[in-house]
Amino acid sequence: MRGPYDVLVVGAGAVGLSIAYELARRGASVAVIEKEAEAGFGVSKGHAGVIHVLQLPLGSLKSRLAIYGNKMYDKWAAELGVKPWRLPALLVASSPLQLPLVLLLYPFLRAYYGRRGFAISLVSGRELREREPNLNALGAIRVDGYAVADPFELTYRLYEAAKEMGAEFYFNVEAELLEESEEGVKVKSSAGAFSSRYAVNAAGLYSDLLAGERLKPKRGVMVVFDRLQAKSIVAPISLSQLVRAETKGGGIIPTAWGHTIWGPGFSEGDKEDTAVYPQDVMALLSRFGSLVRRKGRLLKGYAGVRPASPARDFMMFYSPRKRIVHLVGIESPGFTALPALALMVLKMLQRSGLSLGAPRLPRPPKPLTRELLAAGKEVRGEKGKILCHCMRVSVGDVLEAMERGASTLDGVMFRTKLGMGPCQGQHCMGRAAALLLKLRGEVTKSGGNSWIAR
Amino acid sequence: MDSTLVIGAGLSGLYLARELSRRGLEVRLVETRERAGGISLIDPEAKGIVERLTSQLEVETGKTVVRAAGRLLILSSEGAEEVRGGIVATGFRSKSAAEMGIWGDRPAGVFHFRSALDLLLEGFKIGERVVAYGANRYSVLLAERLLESSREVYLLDPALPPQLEVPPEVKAMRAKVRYVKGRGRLSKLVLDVGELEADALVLSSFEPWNPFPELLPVGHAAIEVYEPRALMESAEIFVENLLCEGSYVELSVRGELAIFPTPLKSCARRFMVVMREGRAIVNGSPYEVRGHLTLPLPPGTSRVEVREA
Ligand SMILES: Cc1cc2nc3c(=O)[nH]c(=O)nc-3n(C[C@H](O)[C@H](O)[C@H](O)COP(=O)(O)OP(=O)(O)OC[C@H]3O[C@@H](n4cnc5c(N)ncnc54)[C@H](O)[C@@H]3O)c2cc1C
Repeated sequence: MRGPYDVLVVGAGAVGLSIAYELARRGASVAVIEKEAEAGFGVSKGHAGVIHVLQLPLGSLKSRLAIYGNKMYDKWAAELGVKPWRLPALLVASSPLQLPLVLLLYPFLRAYYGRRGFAISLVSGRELREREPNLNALGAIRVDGYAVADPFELTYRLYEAAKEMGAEFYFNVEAELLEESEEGVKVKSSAGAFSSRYAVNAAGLYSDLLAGERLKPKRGVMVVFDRLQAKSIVAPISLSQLVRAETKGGGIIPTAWGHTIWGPGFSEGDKEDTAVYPQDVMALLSRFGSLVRRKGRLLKGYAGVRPASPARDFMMFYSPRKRIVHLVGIESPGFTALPALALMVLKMLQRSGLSLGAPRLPRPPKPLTRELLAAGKEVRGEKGKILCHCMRVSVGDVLEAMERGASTLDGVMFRTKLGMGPCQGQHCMGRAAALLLKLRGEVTKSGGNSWIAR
Repeated sequence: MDSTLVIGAGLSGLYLARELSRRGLEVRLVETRERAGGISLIDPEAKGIVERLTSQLEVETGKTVVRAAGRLLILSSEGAEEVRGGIVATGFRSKSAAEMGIWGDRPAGVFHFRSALDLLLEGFKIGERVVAYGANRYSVLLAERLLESSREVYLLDPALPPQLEVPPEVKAMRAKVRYVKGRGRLSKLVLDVGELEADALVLSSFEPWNPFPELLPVGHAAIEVYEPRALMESAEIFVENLLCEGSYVELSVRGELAIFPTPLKSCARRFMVVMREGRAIVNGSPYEVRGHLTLPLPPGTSRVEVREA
């Protein structure tokens, strides 16, 4: 039996990692078990990276945590060496018929957003053309306070910082059962038993199984273009924005690295189904196609599955003896809520008797070649050789990614952005895979039977 | 005098560097990979000339041109150097799965042509049942090469060109790939004509691509041709056009074809019309084109008008 730890966290997604980081930096002994080969290979690898403002319905747990999370984000992320890009969201009317909607919705949205500290304003057609010359739009409602962040960067910084603070990670290990007693928790896993005083069930799409609940997953498909189409998050205005958050068909979402995401779409889903179907893509193209003038090249499509609860809200609750905190239904805006959600879990554990110290700060991350170049610096030696010219990823960056815990090609890509530029890996994926094969004797895309070459 | 930089040491870059130095220019040839030859390394017709040129010229391997903070830099183990000018010979790009209308899962085993080639040249096996999607001279050469390491090799294309010679061991099929399926490794392709079990898909439909549009492209970075002779000829024409002195020719191009080189000068003695297959009307006269056609540019020409017939 491994342990006893103060806290055992099931799941190394963005949520489990945030909790492990916040616990470990306050001196708790933490173990994280994860069924995949690496951190962040669950829901957290397929989302849109938007830091939302609030989520309807108002008053829901997810809305409250999103608001707190949003306001905490910049400082929290800065401690990890990550800088979100703050930008407004525009709800745009693209036809004269939609213009009245702008005026109709404005007072309602001003009440929703304005009262919670998010600036909201009307944007005329002329102002819109000045700010967003690449859009076909006649007028808009502008909401300030949104941001986008690189989901991978944040996930891997959380992982590294948690590890630096002493959290232990067990990959390719699946939790089968959480048993609590007066003294603590015993976790049965595919790699034997773990014991801990407390446990957190942050198993994403599968947390329902460990908590005796049942999720109703929803799929979301996104497509990616190779250029920045706008400087704001953009969504077509519609009446449904009064009752639902704007996630229904998603938006036009700029990324910090110069691409644009359309989506995510929204449909009933199956936990394991992350396929992209042509009809999903068609739906996105018809929703946003006429809104954008120069689109750039369509690079790829990907899908994520939202761990949605039947009530469509986050569920955070204790086990009967309050030794386990279950997190179920952490769908969108889970990424937004991270800082607030982690602190709430800490509070719940403290109320059950866990004592914690003052938080320590992680060391700043080592810069990638791309970042060094942007600062006018250079890298010499064999490690300075470039594998991916689009995203300026060097041999040294790949080796460093492995040093920091990447064990798969996806892990390397997600950490370095190798192959994520306009040429989609033509000149680097083969060479990077060959490099890993030579160093380790094998290479998989994402663990399991996802071998790449032999 | 500053030397002329050639980016990419495939057949086009090598041949261009040779042509430029034959005319007395000082040339620098940089290559991101550790060996010269590019896509022509699997082309038996180009092998000899690639080897000869590689031994005659000084190829700086392991040097990559990138764009960083608005500038072009050559990066290598020796650090960074700023690029002031140059000629782009970085080759084709293969179209992505999304561009080819292929959706579905995102399993391991879907390769861009160059990545598959890089792994093969390093001696690795990329799959047991491999499908090359997009039929052309290079995918046939790759398929032949794959026969050495893979059990079954398919060549698929929605419009299999009839004149393409495919060895009998390669199973050529007219089909469109719609989805890929596989958790982990690729297991199946869904085609318009049924399903095909496969564990590797090589995206082999090419398009010219110049990653540094501020510089002039040559070879596969500029035109879609498949014969080594056409590449060498295009490099010769490029150099003639580059080095002669004359005014620019006004160009008008309509339809699925291209003129090379652009911008074209009135002093260039020839130019190319590039087109998959069909009839082109060039300044009023009709021509059959299959791949490319080199035409003389009469002295004093001020305008070239090309359109698909
Ligand atoms: C399409 C889409 C778009 C989204 N866009 C946004 C957005 O723009 N903004 C936003 O704020 N939020 C967004 N979200 C929501 C956000 O992605 C999630 O809330 C967040 O990633 C959930 O993280 P998690 O750690 O709970 O889940 P996961 O990342 O899935 O982590 C759970 C981990 O637990 C592991 N696991 C499961 N069962 C076991 C077990 N038995 N034993 C061991 N390990 C186990 C899994 O492998 C997984 O790695 C989006 C979600 C989707 C699907």
